[in-house]
Amino acid sequence: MDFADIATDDAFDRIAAVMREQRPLIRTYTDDTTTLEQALASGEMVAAMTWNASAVQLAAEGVPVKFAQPKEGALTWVCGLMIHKDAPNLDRAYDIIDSLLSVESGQFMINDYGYGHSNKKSFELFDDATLQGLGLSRTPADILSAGHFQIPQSQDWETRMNELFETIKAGF
Amino acid sequence: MTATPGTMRAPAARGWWARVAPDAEARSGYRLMAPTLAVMAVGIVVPVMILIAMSFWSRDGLGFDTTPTLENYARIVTEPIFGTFLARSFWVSGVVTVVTVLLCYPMAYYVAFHVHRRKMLWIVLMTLPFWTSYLLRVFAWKVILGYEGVINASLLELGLIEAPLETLLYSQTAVIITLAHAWAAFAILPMYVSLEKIDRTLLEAATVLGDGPVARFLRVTLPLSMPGVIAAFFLIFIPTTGDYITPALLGGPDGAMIGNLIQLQFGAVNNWPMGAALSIVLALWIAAISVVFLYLSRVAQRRIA
Repeated sequence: MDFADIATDDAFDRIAAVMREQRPLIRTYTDDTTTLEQALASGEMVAAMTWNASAVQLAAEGVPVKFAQPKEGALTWVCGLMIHKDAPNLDRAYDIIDSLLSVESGQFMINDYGYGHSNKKSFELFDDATLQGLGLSRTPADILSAGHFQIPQSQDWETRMNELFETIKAGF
Repeated sequence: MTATPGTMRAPAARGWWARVAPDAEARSGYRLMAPTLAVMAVGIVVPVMILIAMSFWSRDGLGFDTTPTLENYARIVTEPIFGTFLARSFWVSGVVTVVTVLLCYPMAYYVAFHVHRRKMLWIVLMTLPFWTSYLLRVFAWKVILGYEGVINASLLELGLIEAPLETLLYSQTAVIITLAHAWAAFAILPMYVSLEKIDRTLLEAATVLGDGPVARFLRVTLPLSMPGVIAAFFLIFIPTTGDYITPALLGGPDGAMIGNLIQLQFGAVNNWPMGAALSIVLALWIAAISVVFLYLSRVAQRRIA
């Protein structure tokens, strides 16, 4: 299935079939990071869908985990900051944004979470091997081009996806 | 359910009012009840009316199509997912109710008949776990039943099992154990009250007239404590059927209950009319089951007595 056809009825049916097939192997469906990290650390789960931050943090604790990079390229997206047009305290908003974008914040985010920070200078504080171990690269364009950007879907489509996901989770 | 009337203009209205409040005493009664009735009207009747109205609507993108339709109810009848979840919820809740009442009856019995000093202290001690939040108790069970939890660790240490038992957590069993513990206080208190009220001379009379301990319990104590048992049944069965937190945290894929399904309709699935229809159907089922249970327990009580 080509990624370009991901938002089609055909893709919908085929992805649903794969998810139904997976269900008997699944211990629990949860979006709770702590539950997943503890389950991976104790051996209760052999694999989990988590943020790469979980893999980085578990590895830092000495748990033998590896973040799997799909050969087809991972799903990716860009987080952004914005200011409301009627924001009353513009200067404070800029203070927060400046602090989030600072080199020091970037160093912490990259080191502790393996987060692809937006300040290029933060990356200069790490050597290539470390960055590669975190699944990152010194050239941000490499990270972005290696993945598939998620495409925003219409509300109807999202509702349809959620409905089907919940039905599959429930065992139907 | 009656609300306080606003005006009395039409003769028909006066006739109705005269029937409801025929004299000064009844009218002063209604005045005293007015705050309660107002809260009931605003807090229960109005929301239920909204729920009933909404259950006949349908979803239209992010909004509602308010044309009345029976489509939601038709889906509940025809699609197997809804029936399965309802049946599972009643099964889990039924087992929880029976287990809780059976486990709590001896406790209530002991305090009512064999504790003679500091009864209040005993009651406080038995309800002590319920001084913590419901959520904390659910998480405590997660720690006890978990993969590296108290039970698994003990069994491993004793060499009784080779690998941790995986079925303890994320299963219907986990939900049943947790709910049975979480609602124990609601079983102990009503049963204790009705056991405590039993006239001790009746028991003496039964003994004098030749009943042994078992016959005395079955013919005197049990029938007289039935009101407490029935109250405990309702206090546990009704809330646990729609319980949401315990199955969400401990149920895993096969332990989800109707409460979780209803929450999803108002959340991720974004189909409020469907959630409303499910809530109504759940309420009707609970009412029906309660009526049947009440009838059966009346018949049983009459037969024992």
